[in-house]
Amino acid sequence: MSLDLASLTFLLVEDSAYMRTIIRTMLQGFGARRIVEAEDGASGLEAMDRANPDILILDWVMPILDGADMVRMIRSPNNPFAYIPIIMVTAHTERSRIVEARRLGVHELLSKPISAKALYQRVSSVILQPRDFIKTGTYFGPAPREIRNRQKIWQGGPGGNPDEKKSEAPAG
Amino acid sequence: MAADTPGDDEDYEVIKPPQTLRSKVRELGPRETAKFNPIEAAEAAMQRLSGNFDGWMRKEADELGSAWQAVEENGLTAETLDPVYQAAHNIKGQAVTLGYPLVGQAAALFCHLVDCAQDAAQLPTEIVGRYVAAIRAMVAEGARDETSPAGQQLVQGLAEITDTLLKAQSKKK
Repeated sequence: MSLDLASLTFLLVEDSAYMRTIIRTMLQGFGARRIVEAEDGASGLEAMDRANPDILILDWVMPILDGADMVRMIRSPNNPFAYIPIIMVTAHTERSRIVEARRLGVHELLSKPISAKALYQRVSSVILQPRDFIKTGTYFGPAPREIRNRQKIWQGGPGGNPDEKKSEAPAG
Repeated sequence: MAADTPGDDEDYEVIKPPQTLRSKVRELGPRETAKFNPIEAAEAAMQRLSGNFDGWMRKEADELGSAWQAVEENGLTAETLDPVYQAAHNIKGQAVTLGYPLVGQAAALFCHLVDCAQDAAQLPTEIVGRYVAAIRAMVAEGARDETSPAGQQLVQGLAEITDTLLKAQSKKK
């Protein structure tokens, strides 16, 4: 499915000017028109207030404030951008990093080298498959797959399971 | 909590995000889709950009060299190693896109060594410097991929050094 991305604002936070150019070129190729860029997490946070982005694409390893720190600051229920879809781009390939990214609350993880197809799939996914958020004592972010599967069971099953530990609340 | 599942065995609250992007984005119709494929358009734009890639790769290698110069001047410490790691990590992530996969492998070995070493700042400076020298040499000589026997030898040598250093550290544990 092809989407008209012209109405969306992307914030791209990446310390490498070349990688910023590569990702910007791909996004423009997809039809995105408004792409704001920042070169580290600190200026990325400033740019969020200024640009009011719809989708955040950020690198993991950056100087000053890295991508993981930035996600931790954003994924707080009181942050005005708490629910923003985050696509984390990384050259890390270790499983431990994938687990860490999930714990941070990113929507999508995109491993470098980046292809246009992989980036488009991630962008489409955060638009077409919006996810509920989960809040626990230790986590605030998009529902992990295991919980989404359980939600489907509740919604699809006759009467659901009254023993499930769940409460629903509107976004605050 | 399960190892990699936030909220898996805790009480949790489900929250509907206040707005979704679906309402802001229009799906292209069949006539538009017939004229415009977003992935092909992006790939064509990347092709037009690719004339810059050799120059970018050289500049990334220069940046690594500048970061390493600070190590040579001030010694290998956590502070001087960090910019070297960041430069190598950028190369690891970009080299394939820029057409230098073998250089990406060398940078990945360096990043793996730093990530896995108990204290990377305690590694022998001269040996760590070999990774930087190899990456810079491969870029300078255009040793892009498996068609370069010299580049392959360098990467093989770095892989052996990485393995030896990390095994020696694990024996000390």
